Amino acid sequence: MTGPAVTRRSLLKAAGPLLLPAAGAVPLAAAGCAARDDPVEIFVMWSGGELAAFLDTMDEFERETGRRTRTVPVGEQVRELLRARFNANNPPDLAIVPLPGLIREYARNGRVMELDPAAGRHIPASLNQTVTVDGRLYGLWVKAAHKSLFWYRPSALAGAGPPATWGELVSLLRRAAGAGQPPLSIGAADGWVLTDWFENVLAGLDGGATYQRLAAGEDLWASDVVTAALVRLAEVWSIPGVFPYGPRRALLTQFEESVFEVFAECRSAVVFEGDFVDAVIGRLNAAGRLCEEPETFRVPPVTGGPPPLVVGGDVAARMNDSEGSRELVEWLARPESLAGWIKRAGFLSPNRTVPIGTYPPGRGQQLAAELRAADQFLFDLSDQLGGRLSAGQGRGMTKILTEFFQSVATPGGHPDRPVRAAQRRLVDAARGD
Amino acid sequence: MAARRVIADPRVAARGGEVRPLDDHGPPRRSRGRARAGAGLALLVPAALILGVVVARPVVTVVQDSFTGGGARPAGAGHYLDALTDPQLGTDVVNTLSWALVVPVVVTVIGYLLAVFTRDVRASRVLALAFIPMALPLVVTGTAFRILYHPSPRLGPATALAQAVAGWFGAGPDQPQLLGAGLVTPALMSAFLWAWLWLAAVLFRAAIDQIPPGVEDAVRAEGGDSWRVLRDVQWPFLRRTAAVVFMLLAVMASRTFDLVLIMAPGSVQHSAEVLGLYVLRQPTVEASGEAAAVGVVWLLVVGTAVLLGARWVRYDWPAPAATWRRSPPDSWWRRARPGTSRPPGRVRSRRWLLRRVALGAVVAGWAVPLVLLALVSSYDPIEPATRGWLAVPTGSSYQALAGSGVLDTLLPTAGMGVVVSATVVVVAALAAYSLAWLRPYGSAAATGALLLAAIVPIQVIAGPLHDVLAPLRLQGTVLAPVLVHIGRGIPLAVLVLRNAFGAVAADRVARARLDGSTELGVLARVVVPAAWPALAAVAALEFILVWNDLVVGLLFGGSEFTPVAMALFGQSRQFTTSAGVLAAGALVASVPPVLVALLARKAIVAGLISGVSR
Repeated sequence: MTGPAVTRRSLLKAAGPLLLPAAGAVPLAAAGCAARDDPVEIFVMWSGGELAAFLDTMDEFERETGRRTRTVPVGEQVRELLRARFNANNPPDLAIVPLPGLIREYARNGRVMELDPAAGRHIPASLNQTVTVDGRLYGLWVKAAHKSLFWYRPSALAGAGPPATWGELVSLLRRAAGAGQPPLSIGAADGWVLTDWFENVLAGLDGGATYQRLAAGEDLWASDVVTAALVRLAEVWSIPGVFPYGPRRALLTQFEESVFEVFAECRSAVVFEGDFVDAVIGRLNAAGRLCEEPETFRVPPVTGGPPPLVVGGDVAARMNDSEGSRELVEWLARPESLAGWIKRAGFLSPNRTVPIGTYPPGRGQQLAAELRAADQFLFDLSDQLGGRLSAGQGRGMTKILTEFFQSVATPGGHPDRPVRAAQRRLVDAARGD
Repeated sequence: MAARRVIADPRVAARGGEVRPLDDHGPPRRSRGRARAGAGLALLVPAALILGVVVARPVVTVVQDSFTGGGARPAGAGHYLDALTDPQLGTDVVNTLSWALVVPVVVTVIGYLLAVFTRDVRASRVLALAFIPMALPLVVTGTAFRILYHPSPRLGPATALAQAVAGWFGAGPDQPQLLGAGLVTPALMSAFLWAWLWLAAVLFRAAIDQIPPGVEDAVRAEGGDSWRVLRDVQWPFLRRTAAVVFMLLAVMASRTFDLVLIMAPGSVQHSAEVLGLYVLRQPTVEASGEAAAVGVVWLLVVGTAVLLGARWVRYDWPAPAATWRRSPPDSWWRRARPGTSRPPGRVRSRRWLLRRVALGAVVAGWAVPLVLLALVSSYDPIEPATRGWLAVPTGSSYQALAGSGVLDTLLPTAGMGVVVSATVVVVAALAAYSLAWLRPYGSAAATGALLLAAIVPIQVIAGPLHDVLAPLRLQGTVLAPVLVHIGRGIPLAVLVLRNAFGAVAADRVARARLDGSTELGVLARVVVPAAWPALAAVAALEFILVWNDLVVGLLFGGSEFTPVAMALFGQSRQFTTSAGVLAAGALVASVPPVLVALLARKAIVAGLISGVSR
């Protein structure tokens, strides 16, 4: 085989005469030689308002450091894209994704750069733990998410305060649905919404003990606690008339649309999801489309005890050893760097040194304080799983819960069978069959 | 020369003694034959080299990996067993087969019917519209159809219509969901149909117009019905066109995974999944033997189908030395042929009017997805999500688009398209000339090999292809997608060009040779000028393919290069709230390929049918 230089040159030479008339070919050819001031390439999963906020943050980084950045929104296909780019030996400089399980997997394959332990010094140890392999830190938590919230329209609850137990929640939903006012919106088209539901029910079952052991990789998927979680989910999702446009439509409704159903259309009363719902509401408010001021209540525990707190978030990992990615991680670790984003609604920083006063007054400060005060929280289970349970699009837990939703929510079936089927598939997937 | 009748079936030609062997001309056979064979092989070298590196070598590696690669079990047939136990694979196989077989059959049949239906319409400008859907990136088509089929009847007109109709029959208020698990694959296919149907119709129309006048009337005069006209008159002429349409669509449809990604909501992604996505969505971080095994099974299935198909249409990729042909015929868009088979009188005019109205309705219906895109792009991004149809136009979606980085990808994508299509044309022209006029040893097997190379899914060979690119130091550079695109484009380009080159009059080639031209001289001075429509068609189609590409950009792009389709796709995570920006970006991204297709539409039709219908 000939040397690389020759091959590339001969290829260009062959195409040379054809390149000349092509205006677009000039930047193409120039791009062949890497410059020292290449932009820092960042993969993110954010979209819409969150993406816009991150882009503003990167503008600040560029102003302060003189470096350039290139943010690539990769959507749900982040696993496929990252693998493709690693196969191409051309990973992005940084990936900021809500998938600590994936980062651990890459770390074990030697594909993620170890971070200076100092990068995580302001982050809660339990979060750092999710991106630590063999005592080495591989990710910096950039954004935290408080994922145990119901958002509701106070007028729709008709004076009946927020439910304190899971039982109260279910009977509240039943009452409203029975009265012909569908109360619950759900973005079931997004698999992560369904896994968040499952995790919150599971976390509220036995004080979160089974949850923690599952997260640690124990094979407890066949346990009664998992059965109970699925039964409780089926109980809510199978209430006739609970979804404003019916279950089939709910299955095709995405997260942001489910928020709109409650707060732009006033079609239903309640939507479950994390603190980042506030960002969507902020956009509605800015466009003058908010139909009622939202309030929140915590996901009530299923079997007594304190309400569960499931936490997710986005973690930054260096996918190559570039100077730019090092600098950006250092910059992101500073408590003041993300102040601009924090001041907007719908962003929680995992950094403990960010003053609570930085958050927007009211709900923002309250949620930040709740997260800060929690001495124990459970990290998003589906984001930690690897292998066949790993919740990629159309795969693993996402697929199992989507089909579970489909079979219990659409009328006609007895919920027992779907529960058994879903649990069996969880067990099989965990065992790698 | 002109008095010779053009015969559709080479077997008839052979019986009639009208075959004129090339070797009747020129110096004594032996020495000339050896020199030609040498030149023939030399001209094949560039194409063979690129296909060897980009296709053949990676395929061999995939087959090896499927037995020995890493995975749950170490080696042997284990990967095949593992792959087969995954229930998702069954869904994907069924979906992929329906894409590769059902879609081309449906498009071919309906395309033919449309061609017959529009045969007395001379409005070639209306038919030129056919080239707009075909030229759109599938990401754009997918965006338009996802809006059309939006689960909310307020946003998705098709959903509103379907639910209203179903309501009369007593269906529930949220039924049917056109993007729901049961209907999503047909919904995706309808988008593909929308994109390709008119091209098929235009190709058939052009072929029908070349049927010698009078033959059809003669059959009718003898009391033949429409079926007999189709079977005895049209079919011998149309078989080659049908074969080209079918092959083109089979290749395009089996490559389709962009539509699944952009159109199917997350909850039905697994129902709509095709093998192209299965290979991409393996559970492990590293490439696995299982994925390779699935890839090999996929290759075997599609490869067998295509080879069987090629056997059936053997005469449709004919060896050009076996018959001679006249140069590309005058075509329907240049001179309107007098209607020969129209019944006279009042009946005709009434039927004609009905057809006109029906055609107008069809064309208007065809425009709906594009009108939707334009509407949605003119709203503020929040409007479609909250209000649906009752919104005030603003420019804010375009403003948001300007800040999204999508526009930065336009120029590099165009540059990539120009470089790739120019290279493909040159390399494929050399190889096609060799196969058409020099026929070196082994060229009989070339058709099968090229067809196979054309259908190798890039997802299957992506891993090994990277191993080939690595020692060339091309990985991660902009040259990686360039080379992959070139390798992907060459097979079909050679097949199309070979047919077109073969259609050049044999005596002109022979005369040039007698005058002492080198083979390159013959190619440059005789064949290229005679077959320029085919060359222009290949260049235009290649540019459109590269511009519209998602998968090569996804697998081989990098920090140096992101195609515009990828950038658009990245905006689509929360579809409804991104619809405004997506639609604005989709319209902008559609301008270059649509312009190219419209400018080159005559060449595309002539190029695709030359050497096919004679």
